[in-house]
Amino acid sequence: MREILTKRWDYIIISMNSLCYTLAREKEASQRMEKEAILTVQNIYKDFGTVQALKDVSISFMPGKIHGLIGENGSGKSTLSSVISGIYPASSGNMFLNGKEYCPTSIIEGEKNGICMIVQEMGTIGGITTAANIFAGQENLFSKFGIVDKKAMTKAAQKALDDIGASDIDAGASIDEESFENRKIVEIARAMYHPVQVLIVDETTTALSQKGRTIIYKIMDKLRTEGKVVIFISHDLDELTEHCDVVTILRDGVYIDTLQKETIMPDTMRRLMVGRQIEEDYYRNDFEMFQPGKPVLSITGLCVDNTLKDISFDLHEGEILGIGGLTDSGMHDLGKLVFGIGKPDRGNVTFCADGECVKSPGVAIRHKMGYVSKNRDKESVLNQSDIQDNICLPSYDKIKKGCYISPAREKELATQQSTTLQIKMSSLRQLCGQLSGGNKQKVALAKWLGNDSDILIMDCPTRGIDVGVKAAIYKLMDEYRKSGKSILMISEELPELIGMSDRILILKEGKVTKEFTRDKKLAESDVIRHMI
Amino acid sequence: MSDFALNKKGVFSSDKIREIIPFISLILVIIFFQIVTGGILLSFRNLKLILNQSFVLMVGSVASSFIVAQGDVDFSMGSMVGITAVCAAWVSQVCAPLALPAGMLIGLFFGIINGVLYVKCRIPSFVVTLSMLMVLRGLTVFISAGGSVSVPFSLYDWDNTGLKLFIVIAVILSAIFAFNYTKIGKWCKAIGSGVTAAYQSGVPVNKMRIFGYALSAAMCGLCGFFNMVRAGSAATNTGNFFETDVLIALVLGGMPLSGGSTSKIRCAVIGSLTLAILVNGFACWSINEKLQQGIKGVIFLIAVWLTFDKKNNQLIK
Amino acid sequence: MKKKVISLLLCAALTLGLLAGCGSSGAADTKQEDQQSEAAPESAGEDATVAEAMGDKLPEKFKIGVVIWSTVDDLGRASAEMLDYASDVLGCEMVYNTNISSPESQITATENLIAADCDAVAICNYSDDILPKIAKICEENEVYFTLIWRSIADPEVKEIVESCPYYLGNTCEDEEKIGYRMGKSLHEKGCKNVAVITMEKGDATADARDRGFEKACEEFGINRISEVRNNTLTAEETTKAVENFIASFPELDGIFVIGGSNTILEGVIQALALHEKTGEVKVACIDFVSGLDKYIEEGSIDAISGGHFVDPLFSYMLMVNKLAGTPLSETCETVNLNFVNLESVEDAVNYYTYVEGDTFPYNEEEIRSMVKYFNPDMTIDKLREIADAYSVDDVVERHGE
Repeated sequence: MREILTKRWDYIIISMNSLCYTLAREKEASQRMEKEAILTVQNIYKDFGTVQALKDVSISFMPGKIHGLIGENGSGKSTLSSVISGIYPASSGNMFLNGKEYCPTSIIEGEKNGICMIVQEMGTIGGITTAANIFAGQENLFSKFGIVDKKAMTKAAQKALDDIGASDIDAGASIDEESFENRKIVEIARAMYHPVQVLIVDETTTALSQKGRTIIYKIMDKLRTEGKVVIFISHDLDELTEHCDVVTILRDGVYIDTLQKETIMPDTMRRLMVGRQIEEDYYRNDFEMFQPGKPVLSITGLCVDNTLKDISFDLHEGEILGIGGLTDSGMHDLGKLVFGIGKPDRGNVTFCADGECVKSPGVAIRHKMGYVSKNRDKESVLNQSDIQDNICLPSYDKIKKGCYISPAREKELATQQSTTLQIKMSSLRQLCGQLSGGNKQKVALAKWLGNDSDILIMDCPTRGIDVGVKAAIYKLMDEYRKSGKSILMISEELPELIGMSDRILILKEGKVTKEFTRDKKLAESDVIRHMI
Repeated sequence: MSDFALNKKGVFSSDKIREIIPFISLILVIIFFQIVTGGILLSFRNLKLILNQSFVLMVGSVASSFIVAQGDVDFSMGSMVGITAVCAAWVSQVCAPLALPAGMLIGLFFGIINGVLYVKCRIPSFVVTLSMLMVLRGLTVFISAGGSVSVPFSLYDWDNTGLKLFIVIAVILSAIFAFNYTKIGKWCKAIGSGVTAAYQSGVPVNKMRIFGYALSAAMCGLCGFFNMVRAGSAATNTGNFFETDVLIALVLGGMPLSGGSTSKIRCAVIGSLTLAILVNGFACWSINEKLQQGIKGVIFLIAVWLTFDKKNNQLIK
Repeated sequence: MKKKVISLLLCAALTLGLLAGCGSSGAADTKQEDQQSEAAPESAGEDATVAEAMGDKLPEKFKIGVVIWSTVDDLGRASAEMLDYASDVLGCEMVYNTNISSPESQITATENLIAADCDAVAICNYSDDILPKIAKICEENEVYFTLIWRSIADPEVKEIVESCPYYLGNTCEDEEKIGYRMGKSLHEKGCKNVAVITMEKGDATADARDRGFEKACEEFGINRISEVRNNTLTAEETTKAVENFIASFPELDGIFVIGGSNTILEGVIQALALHEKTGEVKVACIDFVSGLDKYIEEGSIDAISGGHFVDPLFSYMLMVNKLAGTPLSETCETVNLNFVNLESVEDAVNYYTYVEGDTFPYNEEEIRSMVKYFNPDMTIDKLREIADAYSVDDVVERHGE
């Protein structure tokens, strides 16, 4: 009890301190704002129908700074960057660019003013060349008498790509041939072609590998030295800590605080984002040696041409089996195969209880297996359907009487699951597509828990989810495990793998290269060594 | 005060309005034609006609709802009606009571072919069914020999308003039940909302697709039979443009052609009624038939503009 | 809540429909009878008074429905204009229904015309098989009907239809004979290898013409080398079809167009001109289009028959006479109409001047004289004579300066 009180007291003191600090600094800032800030937003409000996305947000962006913007999903950071770049107008409030009033009506006007944005979702146009993408909307730069000089355009595009260090992308080739990552880089090249004053990087880095990230970091550093502004949005707190000079935290559309370089620390940010103390260690905290129970699922000699080579392992009762590796190591395909999606060239997935092979998701579900895909929007929830339909979908066999599915029983099941998982929603009839990523993931889980699944395959269970929901999901996994059920967790995040798994299998180029057992001393570097 | 505001929002939210617009436009169409035809439209005799004329359309569009809910389209319905009608006519000359089952079985057979081609050969559904439309029309010409096959007079009794009313109500009620309260309907809607996610949630996507086409085609067999007894014959062009009529009816009824959870059987019912009343009303109005085309176009455009869900404007998957 | 209200409403509407369907068929019948019995003495009374008065309009504005494939192609338009003109003269009203893509939609079209309060309906039926049904509908609704451009071939159907008291008769041409004659003229022009452009099987007219042509082929040893069957050919499609004929059959020397009304003939002529085969490949065509004088002059057409757009007028007269209470006959009647043959440029010019175009083959006075109500001397035989005499020369004789 005393401990809690002290903790709480500490927290209040920290908050007070930072508040005083902020107030003082803001006063200072407002004094010099007029002459120094490149971009200032003042008292911005934005609502979408009934939803207030931004409430009275004021921030100044100083030259030569990388300004981080963080907050939980739905806190309004993407909305704010969209307002700045001109995608949609604010409901009220002002913006000043170099001291002059700035209110863009379109993204093109934003670009003209030197405000460029690299967005979360795909921003390239398919079916045309890379060069055409870089200069989309600006073809007149290369046109004479209405005819576009394709050669000149391609040449300029190639130069733009070379400038940012991506000379391996061919500007003349069709954009469709490029990987997702390269397409992101093309977007960056497009954003960088113009004299940029403010560059907004909106959660781009999560989608990129090291190569893409390096390119972005380099550009950000270059802009900083040139005295421009970079607005950097990311969920990755370490990344923010490493690169940002200033970090502003938003919560539920409200400005919370701005931290300067020396005060930027993951813990502080996490606390400010969530608005409550989050325990440092939200993974499971037991490290006893795992005593394997009965095997429930047996994977033998699974082979798929080029992606998987002779994979065999057992999944036991009460076990969390982690599978780690690089994105293209074949681990995502493995997850699908175990659930019966697609056919292996050789090998079997068998239920140990009755020896039946998994041939299709139907068979898997009948044996109380569930699968949560990495691609949440396309594969694990139906965005066009409401929450109730989503939760009940695999469980119709469970709730039907004869062939009649009673709406009352559907509702009962959905209510029960959504309450257990604390899904934030307006009603069970809300469309799934309107939920935030974390809540969608909860729906995907509710669906399988509702069907009393004994085996769960979770592919990247916490991808793109904020800390609050993350902690909830880890807690859930731990409880699930303790009730004697099994989880096959595929993850790209090493802390998660190490923190949650009883056993970890490392996949490299379709082969199991190493098996780790649960160990407190297991370090990320040990694991990485077997991945690359 | 706040209660009132809340209430207002609930009633007038755009989704709700979109849901009831087809119904309102049906009523408007009825009122409009009731006035311009001087009361002929809702006379008993004409109501009977409308039932007779919309019967086939209603059965067809209700049956095809199960495909449209999955986000697919059956373009082969017209020829399906044609071939089942001609086959049923031949069978009826040998043994009249077997005509109906024969028509439905033949429909079922071709429907399964449709579904299997789509599912197993992975040909896009509209290509499969469009090809089937032509193949079956050709086959119909071939088997109908003289172009038109007559029906024994004993079958004329089947063209009976009471029977049709009974069948249409039975079809609608069982469709509503299947669509909302059984796995079949739930699964169809899930496939329309997202095929991959539905498959990964254990929906037997392939089976449901084959089922959808089989159901639609079997019901086309029923439609073919009733077309046949109605016309007293079946000919090479029996059922011409039936697929277009069904699609128009569904759009008029507010059915999202992209499928998914907003699909409703009542869309098919309201749409077919609206279309039948439009056709009948125009005839009763007896205005210049050249003008009719133009006015029909305008009314259709307005109806589609009001009912079509602009958010789901992806037509065919 | 909203949904429940709507579903309730729908249920109510359906139940209402159900009740109406079960309950009131008897009531409606009696109502109709009432109307009928009221109407009967009225018209009888009027008959007596107006027969003496001899106004220039019929006693009542009768509404006549026509089920026809289209009123915008050459043949359909000419017919509709002719009927509209006659109705203007006699004080009737015409309604056309062109929604007839299939047999069942012809039934629907007929029903809808009857629902629109037509007193009589003229039908260009798709095939014999739908007629018993149409007879049944017309009898139930006590509406008279006639056939246009059609005769009934099936003896069983003929018996049923002719026993229907509301069937007044038909007007038709000898389609088989015209087919035969076309074959014969192609033979006379020296054709040996002929391609045929026709409709899909099942169209009664096209099939009859084809039968006649087949007969001619056998008799004169004409080789039928290829055919196109399509109900909805356009000029472009026809051009392509003919190009295919020319490419695959170098020996082709004749083309027979079974129904040229839908710009098909233009397509054929265009294709031949493009490949410089005009004159070399002979063209025979049934149904008239505009601009025939030019084609005949150019020699791009070698035999053409048509002009039967007046056909519906005779069925129309059967109906109008019956409705006006002065029937030409107590039973159903068949009127046979001739095809017009255009032999020379002069014929064609005369045809466009006097028969089809700005004028009509029968003027106001002649139309009125075909109605017994105005002209007590009119009989069914006289009507037949008029039809029998129909030709370009006949019209020129009556109307020429």
